Amino acid sequence: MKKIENILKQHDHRKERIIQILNDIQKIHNYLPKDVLQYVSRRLKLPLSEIYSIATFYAAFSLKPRGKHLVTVCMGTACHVRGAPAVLNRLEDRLGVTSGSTTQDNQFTLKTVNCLGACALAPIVVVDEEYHGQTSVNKVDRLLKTYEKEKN
Amino acid sequence: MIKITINGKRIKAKKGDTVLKIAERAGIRIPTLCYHKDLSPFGGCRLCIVEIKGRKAPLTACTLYAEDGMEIKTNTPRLRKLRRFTLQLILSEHPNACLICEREKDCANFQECIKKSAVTFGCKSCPQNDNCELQDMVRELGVKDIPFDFRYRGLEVERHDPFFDRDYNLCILCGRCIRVCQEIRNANTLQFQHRGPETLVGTAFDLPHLEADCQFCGACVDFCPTGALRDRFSRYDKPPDKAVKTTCMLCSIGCQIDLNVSGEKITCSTPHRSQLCVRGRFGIAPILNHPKRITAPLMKKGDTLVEVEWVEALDFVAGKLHEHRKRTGILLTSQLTNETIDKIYSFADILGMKIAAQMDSTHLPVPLKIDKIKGSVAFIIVNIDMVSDYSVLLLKLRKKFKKNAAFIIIDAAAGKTSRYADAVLNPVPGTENDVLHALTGSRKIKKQTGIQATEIEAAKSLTAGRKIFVLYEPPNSPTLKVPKPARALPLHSQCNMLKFTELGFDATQEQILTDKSIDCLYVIGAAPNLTRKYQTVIVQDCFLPDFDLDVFLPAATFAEMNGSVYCIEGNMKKVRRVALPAGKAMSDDKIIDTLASATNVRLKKRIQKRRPKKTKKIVFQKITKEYPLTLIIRQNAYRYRNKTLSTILKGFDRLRGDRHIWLNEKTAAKYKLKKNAEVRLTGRRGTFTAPVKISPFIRDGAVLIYYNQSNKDIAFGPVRLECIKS
Repeated sequence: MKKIENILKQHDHRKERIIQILNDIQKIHNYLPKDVLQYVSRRLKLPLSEIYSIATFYAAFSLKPRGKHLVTVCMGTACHVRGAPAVLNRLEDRLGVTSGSTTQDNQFTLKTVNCLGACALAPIVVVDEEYHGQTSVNKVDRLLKTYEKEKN
Repeated sequence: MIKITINGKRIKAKKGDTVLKIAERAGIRIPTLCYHKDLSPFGGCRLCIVEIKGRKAPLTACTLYAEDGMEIKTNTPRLRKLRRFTLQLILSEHPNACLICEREKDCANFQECIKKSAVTFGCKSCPQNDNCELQDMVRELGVKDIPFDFRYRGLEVERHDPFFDRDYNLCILCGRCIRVCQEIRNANTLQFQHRGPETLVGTAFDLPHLEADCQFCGACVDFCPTGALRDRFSRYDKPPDKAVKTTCMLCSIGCQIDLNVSGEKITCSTPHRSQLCVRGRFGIAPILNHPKRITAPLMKKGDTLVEVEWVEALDFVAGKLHEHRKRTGILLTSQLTNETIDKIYSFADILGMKIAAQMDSTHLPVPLKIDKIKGSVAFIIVNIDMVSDYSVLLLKLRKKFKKNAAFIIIDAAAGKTSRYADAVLNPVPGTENDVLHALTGSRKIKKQTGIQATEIEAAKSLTAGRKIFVLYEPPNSPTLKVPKPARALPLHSQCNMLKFTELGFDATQEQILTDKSIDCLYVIGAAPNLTRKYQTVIVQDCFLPDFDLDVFLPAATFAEMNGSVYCIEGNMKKVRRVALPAGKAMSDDKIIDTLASATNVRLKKRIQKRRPKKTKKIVFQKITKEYPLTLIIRQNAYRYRNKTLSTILKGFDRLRGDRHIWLNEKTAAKYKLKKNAEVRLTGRRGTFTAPVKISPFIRDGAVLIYYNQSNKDIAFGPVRLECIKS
C-alpha cells in the first residue's frame, strides 16, 4: 500500500486524475486488485462504483491478474481483411487459451483490440508494447519462441 | 430574459434553461424516456430530438440550452420517423412480444397467472404492466413492428437482496437509477459497467447491494421507467387504483408518502414529492398486510388465547380498569396520533392511572429547528448512524448547506455514515464527552480517549470559522454535555415523541415496572420486559407480544385512522385513513372511546400536565480485567409499536442485523470468533446471548448491540465475552 500511497501523492490525491492513477497502479501490479481499488476509493473519497465503472470501460485495464507478457491482436477492419483471424486462431492454439484469458503458467495473456490505428502494418500483433507489423501464422510462431526462450 | 419560438409559438424564457424545460412549461409535449425533472440531463434515449432552424441535424432538447431567437420544431414528420426508429432500436433489446402483438387485449383475462412466470418475456409477464413509461411511449409514437432481430441478454434476475428484484434484461440504460443514486441520494451504489453492447447497470465488483453501501431507499425503483427494478412485495399486484397522501409514522421525521391502494390492499408506499428511507419505502405495506397481524380480540380462557367478540373483551377490560383504577400503569408508545394520545391521557386522568412513555430517559425531546440554522456550519454527529436512522434528515442538511457544512463524526461505532463525513473520530466508548470538549473548546485531548492530538487538530481545522452544532440522541449518549459555543441539537427517533414533551408523563417504563403498587398493566404499543406477575395484563396492539397476557385488543395501524402527528421539526402533519381497519381491528382512539363509555367516564379536553421523576444518571465505568470489553447500546429506531422491524420482516433483519452482537475484526480474532458464532455477554447487571457479526466500523475493544426486548437486562459499560458455539 506504500507504493499506492506514493502514486496517489504524485497525483496530489486528485480525483480527476483517476485514470492516470489506475494506469500507474496497473504498471506495478499488472492488473487492478480489488483491495487496492477499495483503498484508492477511501483515500480519494471517490465512490468505488465509479472507479469500477472506469476500470471496466477501458480495455486497457484488467481486473484479473495478467500473465507476464501481454499479447494483443488487432481485429480492426484492415487487420481482419489481411488475416488477423488466422493469426488469432494460431495464437489461441499455441497458447492453449481463448482470447481474454491467461495461460496456466501465467506467462501470456491473450487479448484482442478493435483498432490500433496502424492499419498500414496490418495484421498487427503487440507484445508488451512492442509492435510487430505484417505478421503471419509463421511469424507468430517465431515471435512466441523468442519470448518463451526469455523464460528459460 | 430571452425569447424563443417553439412550433411557431413565441415563448419567453430564462437564460440557461433547456429547450425541454421551456417546452414543458409552455405545455408542449416532447417525448422523453431518460429525462426526469429532478435529475440532471443525460441525453441517452435520443427521443427528445428537436429541429432547430439553421442547423442540419436534430439535437436532444434535454441537453440543448435555449438561445435568444431560436426557432424550434418538435413534431415534424422527419422527427416522428427518427423517434420511431430510435424506439425500435431500444425495443430490440427489451422483451417486446406483447408490445407488437395484435391480440394484445385478448389475453388480459389471463394476466394474473402469466405475471408470475419466472422470466419476463413481454408486458403481460412484467410486474410493471400498464404502469410503464416504455409501454406508454410505444403507444404515443405508434410503433407497430420492430424490424430488428430481438436480442435477449439472458442475464440472471438478481433476487438475492432484500426488498427489490432486478431484471436487467428489461433495462434500457436510461441511467435514471444511477443519477438518482448519485445526485439525490449521494449513495453512489450504482454505476454503468463495461461499454458498448455489454453495458450494464450494477454495483462495484458486482457486489450484492447489501455489501455495496446501498441504503435500500428505493429511489432507483421509483425512478425506473421500465420493470427492470421492482418492489418485491407489490410485484404481483395490479397497478394502483389510487394513491393517498399521508405521513409515515415509522420514525420521527414525518416524511410525506403516497400509499398506493389496489382494490382493498395497500400495495406499497411511494414518496410524495420527498425522499424516503427503507422503512418508509419498503416497510409500511408489509407491516400492514403482515400474516402475523392479529385482527380480532383475544382473551385468555384457561391456558390459551381464544378469539372473542369485541363486547366481551371490552366489558372485561372496562371492569378490570375500574377495579384496579389507581393501581394501573399504562405503557404507551409514541407512534400514535395526537388525538389518540389526548384521549388516553384524559382517560387516565379521570381513572387515576399512571402513564409511562416508551422512552428510556426522562429527557424530553425538543423540536429540531433546521430553518433557523444559517450560514457556514459544522455538524458534529455523536453516536448516531445518520445514514440508517435519519437518512432523510441527513439528505436535507446536505442539500441545504451543500459545501457550507462540514460533518464530523464522534462515534466508537461510526457505521455507514463514515463515508459521508469529512472527519471520523473513533474514541473509546464513554469518552465522547472528552473528545467533544477537546474539539470545541481549548481542553487538551485526554489519553484515555484513544484519540491522537493530530486527529483532533485536523478535525478542529474543519470547524474553524463555522458555527458548531452537535447532533446526538440522548439515550445513545447518556453522559454527553454540549459545551458552549457549540449548540446542541438533540434528536429523537420515534414518531410523535414531541407529544410527550407537550403533555409530560408520570414515569419511565422502568419506573412503572419496578413500582410494586401497580398490579394491572395496560400496554398500548409498548414493548416492556415483564419480570414479575401482574393480576391483569391488557395489550392493545397489532402483533402479539412475547409476554403472557389476559386480553388482546387488536389496534388499527396508522394507515387505518385519521389524525395528526408532530414531526421532528415541531410542525403538525396529517395522517389519513387510507383503508378500513383489517378484520375486526379498531383504531386506538375508538377503543378508548368505547372503554370510556363502558366505565361511565366522560373524556375531557383539558389534560393535566405530568412531570416524571428524574432517573439516575448513567456513569460509564472503566473496563477491568474481569470485564475487558465495553458495551455500547444503540436505540433501535426500526420499530413499529411493540415489534422491531427485524423481528417481523426478514429483509430488515438481513439489512440491519440488529439482533446480533457487533464487533471489530481484531476483537473477533482475539476471541477466535467467526461470523454467526453464538456469544454470551456478561455485564455487572445481566447477560445477553446472540450471534456475532463483524464490522470494520467498530472500535477495537467495543461491542455494539441494539436495544431490543431480549437484551434489556444488560446495560452500558464493561462486559465479558464468552463463546458458546462457534
